[in-house]
Amino acid sequence: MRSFSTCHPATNFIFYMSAVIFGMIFLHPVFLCISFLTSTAYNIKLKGAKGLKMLFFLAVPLTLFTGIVNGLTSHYGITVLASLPDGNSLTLESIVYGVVTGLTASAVITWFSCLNETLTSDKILYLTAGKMPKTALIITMALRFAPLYLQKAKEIQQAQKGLGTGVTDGSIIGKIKNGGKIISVLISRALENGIETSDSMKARGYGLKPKTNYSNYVFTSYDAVIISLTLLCDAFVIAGAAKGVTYVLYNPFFKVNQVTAFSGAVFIFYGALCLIPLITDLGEDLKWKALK
Amino acid sequence: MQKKSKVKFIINLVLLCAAVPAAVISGFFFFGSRQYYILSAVIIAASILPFFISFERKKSPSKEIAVLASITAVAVIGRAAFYSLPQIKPVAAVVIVAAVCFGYETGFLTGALSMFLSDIFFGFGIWTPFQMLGLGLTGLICGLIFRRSALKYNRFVLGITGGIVTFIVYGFIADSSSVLFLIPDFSWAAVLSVYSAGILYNAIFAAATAVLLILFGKTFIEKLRRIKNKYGIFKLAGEYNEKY
Repeated sequence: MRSFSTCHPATNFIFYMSAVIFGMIFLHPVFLCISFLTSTAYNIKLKGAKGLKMLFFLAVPLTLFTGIVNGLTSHYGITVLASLPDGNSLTLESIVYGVVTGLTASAVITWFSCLNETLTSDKILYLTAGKMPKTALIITMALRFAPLYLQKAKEIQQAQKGLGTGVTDGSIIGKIKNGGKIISVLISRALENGIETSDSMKARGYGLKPKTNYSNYVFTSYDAVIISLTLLCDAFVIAGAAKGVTYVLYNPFFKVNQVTAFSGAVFIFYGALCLIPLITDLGEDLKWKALK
Repeated sequence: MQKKSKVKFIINLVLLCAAVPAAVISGFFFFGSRQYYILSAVIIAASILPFFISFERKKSPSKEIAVLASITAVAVIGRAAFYSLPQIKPVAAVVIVAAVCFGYETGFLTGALSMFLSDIFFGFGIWTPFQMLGLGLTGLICGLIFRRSALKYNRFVLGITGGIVTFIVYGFIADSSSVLFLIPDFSWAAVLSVYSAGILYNAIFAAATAVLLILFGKTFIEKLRRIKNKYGIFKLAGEYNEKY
Protein backbone atom coordinates (compact mmCIF):
# COMPACT_ATOMS: atom_id res chain seq x y z
CA MET A 1 0.00 0.00 0.00
CA ARG A 2 1.20 3.45 -0.86
CA SER A 3 -0.48 6.69 0.12
CA PHE A 4 -2.74 8.28 -2.48
CA SER A 5 -0.62 11.40 -2.82
CA THR A 6 2.40 9.37 -4.00
CA CYS A 7 0.40 7.79 -6.82
CA HIS A 8 0.81 8.66 -10.48
CA PRO A 9 -0.83 12.02 -11.45
CA ALA A 10 -3.22 10.27 -13.83
CA THR A 11 -4.48 8.07 -10.98
CA ASN A 12 -5.19 11.10 -8.83
CA PHE A 13 -6.73 13.04 -11.69
CA ILE A 14 -9.15 10.29 -12.74
CA PHE A 15 -10.27 9.81 -9.16
CA TYR A 16 -10.89 13.49 -8.49
CA MET A 17 -12.71 13.96 -11.79
CA SER A 18 -15.11 11.15 -10.86
CA ALA A 19 -15.53 12.33 -7.28
CA VAL A 20 -16.22 15.96 -8.21
CA ILE A 21 -18.54 15.26 -11.14
CA PHE A 22 -20.57 12.64 -9.27
CA GLY A 23 -20.60 14.82 -6.17
CA MET A 24 -22.01 17.69 -8.20
CA ILE A 25 -24.77 15.93 -10.14
CA PHE A 26 -26.14 13.34 -7.70
CA LEU A 27 -28.61 14.87 -5.29
CA HIS A 28 -29.89 11.57 -3.93
CA PRO A 29 -29.59 11.74 -0.12
CA VAL A 30 -27.54 8.53 0.19
CA PHE A 31 -25.08 9.62 -2.49
CA LEU A 32 -24.90 13.06 -0.95
CA CYS A 33 -24.10 11.73 2.52
CA ILE A 34 -21.46 9.34 1.15
CA SER A 35 -19.79 12.11 -0.82
CA PHE A 36 -19.90 14.61 2.04
CA LEU A 37 -18.74 12.22 4.77
CA THR A 38 -15.91 10.60 2.81
CA SER A 39 -14.57 13.90 1.50
CA THR A 40 -14.63 15.41 5.00
CA ALA A 41 -12.97 12.32 6.49
CA TYR A 42 -10.22 12.34 3.88
CA ASN A 43 -9.74 16.08 4.31
CA ILE A 44 -9.33 15.64 8.07
CA LYS A 45 -6.94 12.74 7.46
CA LEU A 46 -4.86 14.96 5.17
CA LYS A 47 -4.95 18.23 7.06
CA GLY A 48 -5.81 17.39 10.64
CA ALA A 49 -7.11 20.37 12.57
CA LYS A 50 -7.37 22.44 9.39
CA GLY A 51 -9.79 19.89 7.97
CA LEU A 52 -11.96 20.10 11.08
CA LYS A 53 -11.88 23.87 10.84
CA MET A 54 -13.11 23.65 7.26
CA LEU A 55 -15.99 21.43 8.37
CA PHE A 56 -17.18 23.77 11.13
CA PHE A 57 -16.41 27.15 9.61
CA LEU A 58 -17.22 26.47 5.97
CA ALA A 59 -19.42 23.41 5.41
CA VAL A 60 -21.83 23.83 8.32
CA PRO A 61 -22.44 27.60 7.89
CA LEU A 62 -22.77 27.22 4.11
CA THR A 63 -25.35 24.46 4.49
CA LEU A 64 -27.32 26.45 7.07
CA PHE A 65 -27.14 29.55 4.90
CA THR A 66 -28.45 27.89 1.75
CA GLY A 67 -31.14 26.12 3.77
CA ILE A 68 -32.41 29.34 5.31
CA VAL A 69 -32.16 31.38 2.12
CA ASN A 70 -33.94 28.79 0.01
CA GLY A 71 -36.59 28.36 2.68
CA LEU A 72 -37.25 32.09 2.69
CA THR A 73 -37.13 32.69 -1.08
CA SER A 74 -38.70 29.56 -2.58
CA HIS A 75 -42.19 28.51 -1.60
CA TYR A 76 -42.84 25.25 -3.42
CA GLY A 77 -43.58 22.04 -1.61
CA ILE A 78 -46.65 20.55 0.02
CA THR A 79 -45.56 20.35 3.67
CA VAL A 80 -46.26 23.83 5.01
CA LEU A 81 -44.50 24.56 8.28
CA ALA A 82 -45.50 28.17 8.86
CA SER A 83 -46.56 31.21 6.96
CA LEU A 84 -44.17 34.06 6.41
CA PRO A 85 -45.01 37.73 7.09
CA ASP A 86 -45.13 38.44 3.32
CA GLY A 87 -47.99 35.95 2.89
CA ASN A 88 -45.92 33.12 1.37
CA SER A 89 -45.53 29.83 3.16
CA LEU A 90 -42.44 28.29 4.64
CA THR A 91 -42.23 24.72 3.39
CA LEU A 92 -40.18 21.74 4.48
CA GLU A 93 -39.28 20.85 0.89
CA SER A 94 -37.70 24.18 0.07
CA ILE A 95 -35.59 24.10 3.27
CA VAL A 96 -34.49 20.53 2.55
CA TYR A 97 -33.57 21.41 -1.00
CA GLY A 98 -31.52 24.39 0.22
CA VAL A 99 -29.70 22.11 2.66
CA VAL A 100 -29.08 19.62 -0.15
CA THR A 101 -27.56 22.35 -2.29
CA GLY A 102 -25.35 23.50 0.58
CA LEU A 103 -24.19 19.94 1.28
CA THR A 104 -23.38 19.37 -2.39
CA ALA A 105 -21.39 22.58 -2.53
CA SER A 106 -19.56 21.73 0.71
CA ALA A 107 -18.71 18.23 -0.51
CA VAL A 108 -17.33 19.53 -3.79
CA ILE A 109 -15.35 22.27 -2.06
CA THR A 110 -13.93 19.67 0.34
CA TRP A 111 -12.97 17.41 -2.58
CA PHE A 112 -11.16 20.34 -4.13
CA SER A 113 -9.41 20.98 -0.84
CA CYS A 114 -8.15 17.37 -0.89
CA LEU A 115 -7.19 17.79 -4.54
CA ASN A 116 -5.06 20.81 -3.72
CA GLU A 117 -3.27 18.77 -1.10
CA THR A 118 -2.53 15.74 -3.28
CA LEU A 119 -2.43 17.00 -6.88
CA THR A 120 0.57 19.30 -6.49
CA SER A 121 1.80 21.78 -9.08
CA ASP A 122 4.42 19.41 -10.51
CA LYS A 123 1.72 16.81 -11.05
CA ILE A 124 -0.43 19.36 -12.85
CA LEU A 125 2.56 20.24 -15.02
CA TYR A 126 3.10 16.57 -15.79
CA LEU A 127 -0.52 16.28 -16.89
CA THR A 128 -0.35 19.36 -19.17
CA ALA A 129 3.16 18.82 -20.57
CA GLY A 130 2.21 15.94 -22.87
CA LYS A 131 -0.43 17.71 -24.97
CA MET A 132 0.52 21.36 -24.44
CA PRO A 133 4.29 21.63 -24.07
CA LYS A 134 4.48 25.41 -24.60
CA THR A 135 1.78 26.19 -22.05
CA ALA A 136 3.46 23.85 -19.59
CA LEU A 137 6.77 25.63 -20.22
CA ILE A 138 5.18 29.00 -19.45
CA ILE A 139 3.56 27.63 -16.31
CA THR A 140 6.89 26.17 -15.16
CA MET A 141 8.72 29.43 -15.77
CA ALA A 142 6.04 31.54 -14.11
CA LEU A 143 5.99 29.18 -11.13
CA ARG A 144 9.67 29.87 -10.71
CA PHE A 145 9.35 33.59 -11.41
CA ALA A 146 6.51 34.23 -8.98
CA PRO A 147 8.46 33.55 -5.74
CA LEU A 148 11.51 35.28 -7.21
CA TYR A 149 9.56 38.41 -8.06
CA LEU A 150 7.77 38.30 -4.74
CA GLN A 151 11.18 38.43 -3.09
CA LYS A 152 12.14 41.36 -5.33
CA ALA A 153 8.82 43.06 -4.58
CA LYS A 154 9.57 42.80 -0.89
CA GLU A 155 12.99 44.39 -1.45
CA ILE A 156 11.42 47.21 -3.44
CA GLN A 157 8.75 47.65 -0.79
CA GLN A 158 11.39 47.94 1.92
CA ALA A 159 13.31 50.54 -0.05
CA GLN A 160 10.10 52.48 -0.65
CA LYS A 161 9.19 52.25 3.00
CA GLY A 162 12.54 53.78 3.88
CA LEU A 163 11.56 56.69 1.68
CA GLY A 164 8.18 56.96 3.40
CA THR A 165 6.17 55.69 0.42
CA GLY A 166 5.51 52.06 1.37
CA VAL A 167 2.19 50.35 0.63
CA THR A 168 0.99 50.98 4.17
CA ASP A 169 1.58 54.72 4.05
CA GLY A 170 -0.92 57.39 3.14
CA SER A 171 -4.61 57.47 2.24
CA ILE A 172 -6.35 54.95 -0.01
CA ILE A 173 -5.24 56.72 -3.17
CA GLY A 174 -1.78 57.08 -1.66
CA LYS A 175 -1.65 53.35 -0.97
CA ILE A 176 -2.70 52.53 -4.50
CA LYS A 177 -0.11 54.96 -5.81
CA ASN A 178 2.67 53.48 -3.72
CA GLY A 179 1.62 49.94 -4.57
CA GLY A 180 1.49 50.81 -8.25
CA LYS A 181 4.99 52.18 -8.05
CA ILE A 182 6.23 48.87 -6.71
CA ILE A 183 4.49 47.01 -9.54
CA SER A 184 5.99 49.46 -12.00
CA VAL A 185 9.54 48.85 -10.74
CA LEU A 186 8.80 45.15 -10.66
CA ILE A 187 7.67 45.14 -14.31
CA SER A 188 11.00 46.66 -15.38
CA ARG A 189 12.98 44.08 -13.50
CA ALA A 190 10.74 41.24 -14.60
CA LEU A 191 11.01 42.14 -18.28
CA GLU A 192 14.79 42.39 -18.15
CA ASN A 193 14.92 39.11 -16.28
CA GLY A 194 12.68 37.53 -18.91
CA ILE A 195 14.96 38.64 -21.73
CA GLU A 196 18.00 37.25 -19.92
CA THR A 197 16.21 33.97 -19.33
CA SER A 198 15.31 33.75 -23.00
CA ASP A 199 18.97 34.13 -24.00
CA SER A 200 19.79 31.31 -21.65
CA MET A 201 16.98 29.22 -23.13
CA LYS A 202 18.29 29.79 -26.62
CA ALA A 203 21.82 28.85 -25.56
CA ARG A 204 20.45 25.57 -24.26
CA GLY A 205 18.73 24.72 -27.48
CA TYR A 206 15.15 25.98 -27.18
CA GLY A 207 13.29 25.53 -30.44
CA LEU A 208 15.43 22.67 -31.75
CA LYS A 209 13.50 19.63 -32.87
CA PRO A 210 14.28 16.60 -30.71
CA LYS A 211 12.90 17.55 -27.34
CA THR A 212 11.67 15.34 -24.54
CA ASN A 213 10.03 15.96 -21.20
CA TYR A 214 11.58 14.71 -18.04
CA SER A 215 9.17 13.36 -15.53
CA ASN A 216 9.62 11.88 -12.15
CA TYR A 217 6.50 9.72 -12.22
CA VAL A 218 6.42 6.03 -12.94
CA PHE A 219 3.18 4.26 -13.69
CA THR A 220 3.31 1.17 -11.52
CA SER A 221 1.06 -1.86 -11.29
CA TYR A 222 -0.31 -0.34 -8.08
CA ASP A 223 -1.54 2.66 -10.10
CA ALA A 224 -3.07 0.28 -12.61
CA VAL A 225 -4.98 -1.46 -9.82
CA ILE A 226 -6.26 1.82 -8.37
CA ILE A 227 -7.28 3.18 -11.77
CA SER A 228 -9.13 -0.01 -12.67
CA LEU A 229 -10.90 0.02 -9.32
CA THR A 230 -11.90 3.65 -9.88
CA LEU A 231 -13.17 2.94 -13.38
CA LEU A 232 -15.01 -0.19 -12.25
CA CYS A 233 -16.84 1.78 -9.55
CA ASP A 234 -17.50 4.58 -12.06
CA ALA A 235 -19.05 2.10 -14.46
CA PHE A 236 -21.30 0.67 -11.76
CA VAL A 237 -22.40 4.10 -10.57
CA ILE A 238 -23.13 5.25 -14.12
CA ALA A 239 -25.09 2.06 -14.77
CA GLY A 240 -27.00 2.70 -11.56
CA ALA A 241 -27.72 6.27 -12.60
CA ALA A 242 -28.94 5.05 -15.99
CA LYS A 243 -31.30 2.62 -14.21
CA GLY A 244 -32.71 5.42 -12.07
CA VAL A 245 -31.06 4.59 -8.75
CA THR A 246 -30.00 8.20 -8.33
CA TYR A 247 -33.47 9.55 -9.14
CA VAL A 248 -34.74 11.95 -6.52
CA LEU A 249 -37.52 14.51 -6.43
CA TYR A 250 -37.58 17.39 -3.96
CA ASN A 251 -40.24 19.53 -5.57
CA PRO A 252 -43.20 19.49 -4.91
CA PHE A 253 -42.68 16.52 -2.56
CA PHE A 254 -39.79 14.28 -1.58
CA LYS A 255 -39.56 11.05 -3.53
CA VAL A 256 -36.86 8.46 -4.20
CA ASN A 257 -37.05 5.09 -5.90
CA GLN A 258 -37.48 1.95 -3.85
CA VAL A 259 -34.23 0.56 -2.44
CA THR A 260 -33.53 -2.80 -4.08
CA ALA A 261 -30.57 -5.17 -3.99
CA PHE A 262 -29.24 -3.51 -7.14
CA SER A 263 -29.46 0.02 -5.75
CA GLY A 264 -27.82 -1.20 -2.52
CA ALA A 265 -24.94 -2.53 -4.60
CA VAL A 266 -24.65 0.82 -6.38
CA PHE A 267 -24.51 2.63 -3.02
CA ILE A 268 -21.73 0.28 -1.90
CA PHE A 269 -19.78 0.85 -5.12
CA TYR A 270 -20.14 4.62 -4.77
CA GLY A 271 -18.94 4.38 -1.17
CA ALA A 272 -16.00 2.25 -2.27
CA LEU A 273 -15.12 4.78 -4.96
CA CYS A 274 -15.13 7.69 -2.51
CA LEU A 275 -13.15 5.72 0.07
CA ILE A 276 -10.29 4.79 -2.29
CA PRO A 277 -7.88 7.57 -1.15
CA LEU A 278 -8.74 7.15 2.51
CA ILE A 279 -8.21 3.38 2.39
CA THR A 280 -4.88 3.64 0.57
CA ASP A 281 -3.64 6.22 3.08
CA LEU A 282 -4.81 4.25 6.11
CA GLY A 283 -3.29 1.10 4.59
CA GLU A 284 0.03 2.85 4.30
CA ASP A 285 -0.19 3.97 7.93
CA LEU A 286 -0.87 0.39 9.03
CA LYS A 287 2.04 -0.90 6.97
CA TRP A 288 4.30 1.73 8.49
CA LYS A 289 3.26 0.74 11.99
CA ALA A 290 3.71 -2.97 11.23
CA LEU A 291 7.20 -2.37 9.87
CA LYS A 292 8.21 -0.29 12.87
CA MET B 1 -2.11 38.54 -38.91
CA GLN B 2 -3.06 36.23 -41.78
CA LYS B 3 -6.54 36.30 -43.15
CA LYS B 4 -7.30 32.64 -42.44
CA SER B 5 -6.46 32.78 -38.77
CA LYS B 6 -8.40 36.01 -38.52
CA VAL B 7 -11.53 34.34 -39.86
CA LYS B 8 -10.95 31.44 -37.50
CA PHE B 9 -10.54 33.85 -34.63
CA ILE B 10 -13.77 35.68 -35.42
CA ILE B 11 -15.64 32.35 -35.63
CA ASN B 12 -14.16 31.41 -32.27
CA LEU B 13 -15.24 34.68 -30.76
CA VAL B 14 -18.79 34.46 -32.09
CA LEU B 15 -19.13 30.87 -30.86
CA LEU B 16 -17.78 31.92 -27.52
CA CYS B 17 -20.10 34.89 -27.16
CA ALA B 18 -23.22 33.05 -28.29
CA ALA B 19 -22.71 29.48 -27.15
CA VAL B 20 -21.80 30.02 -23.52
CA PRO B 21 -24.86 31.98 -22.39
CA ALA B 22 -27.10 29.93 -24.68
CA ALA B 23 -25.92 26.66 -23.20
CA VAL B 24 -26.17 27.94 -19.66
CA ILE B 25 -29.69 29.24 -20.19
CA SER B 26 -30.83 26.11 -22.01
CA GLY B 27 -29.31 24.10 -19.17
CA PHE B 28 -31.43 26.07 -16.72
CA PHE B 29 -34.65 25.54 -18.59
CA PHE B 30 -34.37 22.11 -20.20
CA PHE B 31 -32.20 20.02 -17.97
CA GLY B 32 -34.01 21.01 -14.83
CA SER B 33 -31.73 19.16 -12.47
CA ARG B 34 -28.10 20.11 -11.92
CA GLN B 35 -26.65 18.98 -15.23
CA TYR B 36 -26.43 22.61 -16.28
CA TYR B 37 -23.48 23.06 -14.00
CA ILE B 38 -21.44 20.35 -15.69
CA LEU B 39 -22.61 21.64 -19.05
CA SER B 40 -21.51 25.19 -18.40
CA ALA B 41 -18.16 24.13 -16.91
CA VAL B 42 -17.49 22.00 -19.98
CA ILE B 43 -18.43 24.84 -22.30
CA ILE B 44 -16.22 27.26 -20.43
CA ALA B 45 -13.27 24.88 -20.56
CA ALA B 46 -13.96 24.34 -24.25
CA SER B 47 -13.98 28.06 -24.89
CA ILE B 48 -10.63 28.58 -23.15
CA LEU B 49 -8.94 25.75 -25.03
CA PRO B 50 -8.95 27.19 -28.60
CA PHE B 51 -6.71 30.05 -27.50
CA PHE B 52 -4.19 27.68 -25.98
CA ILE B 53 -4.33 25.36 -28.99
CA SER B 54 -3.67 28.20 -31.41
CA PHE B 55 -0.84 29.32 -29.14
CA GLU B 56 0.63 25.82 -29.17
CA ARG B 57 0.50 25.69 -32.97
CA LYS B 58 2.10 29.07 -33.45
CA LYS B 59 5.86 29.33 -33.59
CA SER B 60 7.01 31.66 -30.87
CA PRO B 61 10.59 32.72 -30.18
CA SER B 62 12.09 32.10 -26.76
CA LYS B 63 11.90 35.81 -25.95
CA GLU B 64 8.13 35.85 -26.32
CA ILE B 65 7.79 32.81 -24.07
CA ALA B 66 10.03 34.29 -21.39
CA VAL B 67 8.39 37.72 -21.47
CA LEU B 68 4.92 36.15 -21.36
CA ALA B 69 5.95 34.06 -18.36
CA SER B 70 7.44 37.14 -16.68
CA ILE B 71 4.38 39.31 -17.11
CA THR B 72 2.16 36.44 -15.96
CA ALA B 73 4.26 36.05 -12.83
CA VAL B 74 3.92 39.78 -12.12
CA ALA B 75 0.15 39.48 -12.51
CA VAL B 76 0.12 36.50 -10.13
CA ILE B 77 2.01 38.53 -7.54
CA GLY B 78 -0.49 41.29 -8.14
CA ARG B 79 -3.20 38.90 -7.01
CA ALA B 80 -1.30 37.51 -4.04
CA ALA B 81 -1.70 39.41 -0.81
CA PHE B 82 0.26 42.50 -1.70
CA TYR B 83 -1.90 45.34 -0.60
CA SER B 84 -3.12 46.22 2.83
CA LEU B 85 -6.63 46.67 1.44
CA PRO B 86 -8.79 43.81 0.20
CA GLN B 87 -9.82 43.61 -3.46
CA ILE B 88 -7.33 46.33 -4.41
CA LYS B 89 -5.21 44.12 -6.57
CA PRO B 90 -3.28 45.15 -9.66
CA VAL B 91 -3.74 41.82 -11.46
CA ALA B 92 -6.31 43.12 -13.95
CA ALA B 93 -4.28 46.26 -14.61
CA VAL B 94 -1.19 44.21 -15.50
CA VAL B 95 -3.23 41.91 -17.74
CA ILE B 96 -4.87 44.85 -19.52
CA VAL B 97 -1.54 46.55 -20.15
CA ALA B 98 -0.08 43.28 -21.49
CA ALA B 99 -3.11 42.90 -23.77
CA VAL B 100 -2.87 46.47 -25.03
CA CYS B 101 0.85 46.18 -25.82
CA PHE B 102 1.33 42.58 -26.84
CA GLY B 103 -2.00 41.96 -28.57
CA TYR B 104 -5.34 40.51 -27.58
CA GLU B 105 -4.33 36.86 -27.86
CA THR B 106 -1.43 37.42 -25.50
CA GLY B 107 -3.82 39.32 -23.26
CA PHE B 108 -6.15 36.35 -23.09
CA LEU B 109 -3.29 33.96 -22.32
CA THR B 110 -1.88 36.25 -19.62
CA GLY B 111 -5.25 36.66 -17.94
CA ALA B 112 -6.20 32.99 -18.05
CA LEU B 113 -2.77 31.74 -17.01
CA SER B 114 -2.38 34.21 -14.16
CA MET B 115 -5.69 33.04 -12.66
CA PHE B 116 -4.71 29.39 -13.16
CA LEU B 117 -1.30 29.94 -11.56
CA SER B 118 -2.56 31.92 -8.61
CA ASP B 119 -5.04 29.12 -7.96
CA ILE B 120 -2.05 26.77 -7.74
CA PHE B 121 -1.04 28.91 -4.76
CA PHE B 122 -4.50 29.66 -3.36
CA GLY B 123 -6.20 26.40 -4.19
CA PHE B 124 -8.25 25.17 -7.12
CA GLY B 125 -11.98 25.17 -7.03
CA ILE B 126 -15.03 25.07 -9.16
CA TRP B 127 -14.44 28.78 -9.74
CA THR B 128 -11.08 28.33 -11.50
CA PRO B 129 -12.34 27.97 -15.10
CA PHE B 130 -14.74 30.89 -14.56
CA GLN B 131 -12.00 33.16 -13.27
CA MET B 132 -9.70 32.10 -16.09
CA LEU B 133 -12.29 32.88 -18.72
CA GLY B 134 -13.27 36.12 -16.95
CA LEU B 135 -9.84 37.67 -16.75
CA GLY B 136 -8.82 36.21 -20.10
CA LEU B 137 -11.80 37.86 -21.78
CA THR B 138 -11.07 41.11 -19.95
CA GLY B 139 -7.61 41.10 -21.50
CA LEU B 140 -8.92 40.06 -24.89
CA ILE B 141 -11.60 42.76 -25.04
CA CYS B 142 -9.23 45.52 -23.90
CA GLY B 143 -6.65 44.29 -26.40
CA LEU B 144 -9.24 44.44 -29.19
CA ILE B 145 -10.50 47.89 -28.19
CA PHE B 146 -7.06 49.47 -28.21
CA ARG B 147 -5.65 47.35 -31.01
CA ARG B 148 -5.01 49.99 -33.60
CA SER B 149 -5.73 53.10 -31.66
CA ALA B 150 -3.47 55.67 -30.13
CA LEU B 151 -6.09 56.23 -27.44
CA LYS B 152 -4.28 53.80 -25.17
CA TYR B 153 -1.79 56.55 -24.48
CA ASN B 154 -4.59 58.65 -23.03
CA ARG B 155 -4.54 57.65 -19.41
CA PHE B 156 -8.17 58.45 -18.70
CA VAL B 157 -9.57 56.62 -21.70
CA LEU B 158 -7.45 53.56 -20.86
CA GLY B 159 -8.25 53.66 -17.18
CA ILE B 160 -12.00 54.12 -17.50
CA THR B 161 -12.36 51.57 -20.29
CA GLY B 162 -10.26 49.08 -18.34
CA GLY B 163 -12.31 49.61 -15.21
CA ILE B 164 -15.63 49.20 -17.00
CA VAL B 165 -14.52 46.06 -18.85
CA THR B 166 -13.16 44.56 -15.63
CA PHE B 167 -16.38 45.32 -13.80
CA ILE B 168 -18.72 43.95 -16.43
CA VAL B 169 -16.78 41.03 -17.89
CA TYR B 170 -14.72 39.74 -14.99
CA GLY B 171 -17.32 40.52 -12.35
CA PHE B 172 -20.13 38.87 -14.28
CA ILE B 173 -18.25 35.72 -15.27
CA ALA B 174 -16.55 35.19 -11.90
CA ASP B 175 -19.84 35.64 -10.03
CA SER B 176 -21.58 33.25 -12.40
CA SER B 177 -19.77 30.38 -10.73
CA SER B 178 -21.42 31.20 -7.41
CA VAL B 179 -24.78 31.75 -9.11
CA LEU B 180 -24.62 28.33 -10.72
CA PHE B 181 -23.26 26.66 -7.65
CA LEU B 182 -25.25 28.14 -4.79
CA ILE B 183 -28.69 28.60 -6.25
CA PRO B 184 -30.79 25.48 -5.95
CA ASP B 185 -33.47 26.53 -8.37
CA PHE B 186 -33.50 29.11 -11.05
CA SER B 187 -35.34 32.27 -10.13
CA TRP B 188 -34.47 35.78 -11.21
CA ALA B 189 -34.71 37.08 -7.64
CA ALA B 190 -32.19 34.55 -6.34
CA VAL B 191 -29.83 35.15 -9.28
CA LEU B 192 -30.01 38.89 -8.77
CA SER B 193 -29.35 38.54 -5.05
CA VAL B 194 -26.14 36.57 -5.64
CA TYR B 195 -24.92 39.01 -8.29
CA SER B 196 -25.74 42.01 -6.12
CA ALA B 197 -23.90 40.43 -3.17
CA GLY B 198 -20.75 40.43 -5.31
CA ILE B 199 -21.28 43.86 -6.81
CA LEU B 200 -19.47 45.80 -4.10
CA TYR B 201 -16.33 43.67 -4.34
CA ASN B 202 -16.36 43.86 -8.10
CA ALA B 203 -16.84 47.62 -7.98
CA ILE B 204 -13.86 48.05 -5.66
CA PHE B 205 -11.75 45.74 -7.83
CA ALA B 206 -12.74 47.61 -10.99
CA ALA B 207 -12.24 51.03 -9.42
CA ALA B 208 -8.78 50.06 -8.16
CA THR B 209 -7.92 48.80 -11.64
CA ALA B 210 -9.11 52.06 -13.17
CA VAL B 211 -7.15 54.18 -10.68
CA LEU B 212 -4.01 52.11 -11.23
CA LEU B 213 -4.34 52.41 -14.99
CA ILE B 214 -4.94 56.15 -14.77
CA LEU B 215 -1.93 56.64 -12.54
CA PHE B 216 0.46 54.10 -14.02
CA GLY B 217 -1.01 52.81 -17.29
CA LYS B 218 1.18 55.02 -19.43
CA THR B 219 4.34 54.08 -17.53
CA PHE B 220 3.55 50.37 -17.78
CA ILE B 221 2.80 50.66 -21.48
CA GLU B 222 6.02 52.48 -22.21
CA LYS B 223 8.02 49.82 -20.41
CA LEU B 224 6.38 47.01 -22.31
CA ARG B 225 6.60 48.82 -25.63
CA ARG B 226 10.28 49.48 -25.13
CA ILE B 227 10.97 45.76 -24.72
CA LYS B 228 8.73 45.01 -27.67
CA ASN B 229 10.47 47.42 -30.02
CA LYS B 230 13.97 46.68 -28.77
CA TYR B 231 13.78 42.94 -29.27
CA GLY B 232 11.17 42.85 -32.01
CA ILE B 233 8.82 40.47 -30.23
CA PHE B 234 5.01 40.13 -30.55
CA LYS B 235 5.15 41.62 -34.03
CA LEU B 236 1.88 39.99 -35.04
CA ALA B 237 0.04 41.86 -32.34
CA GLY B 238 -1.41 44.30 -34.88
CA GLU B 239 0.24 47.34 -33.41
CA TYR B 240 -0.63 50.88 -34.29
CA ASN B 241 2.31 52.39 -36.13
CA GLU B 242 4.50 53.79 -33.39
CA LYS B 243 6.26 57.09 -33.29
CA TYR B 244 8.37 56.64 -30.25
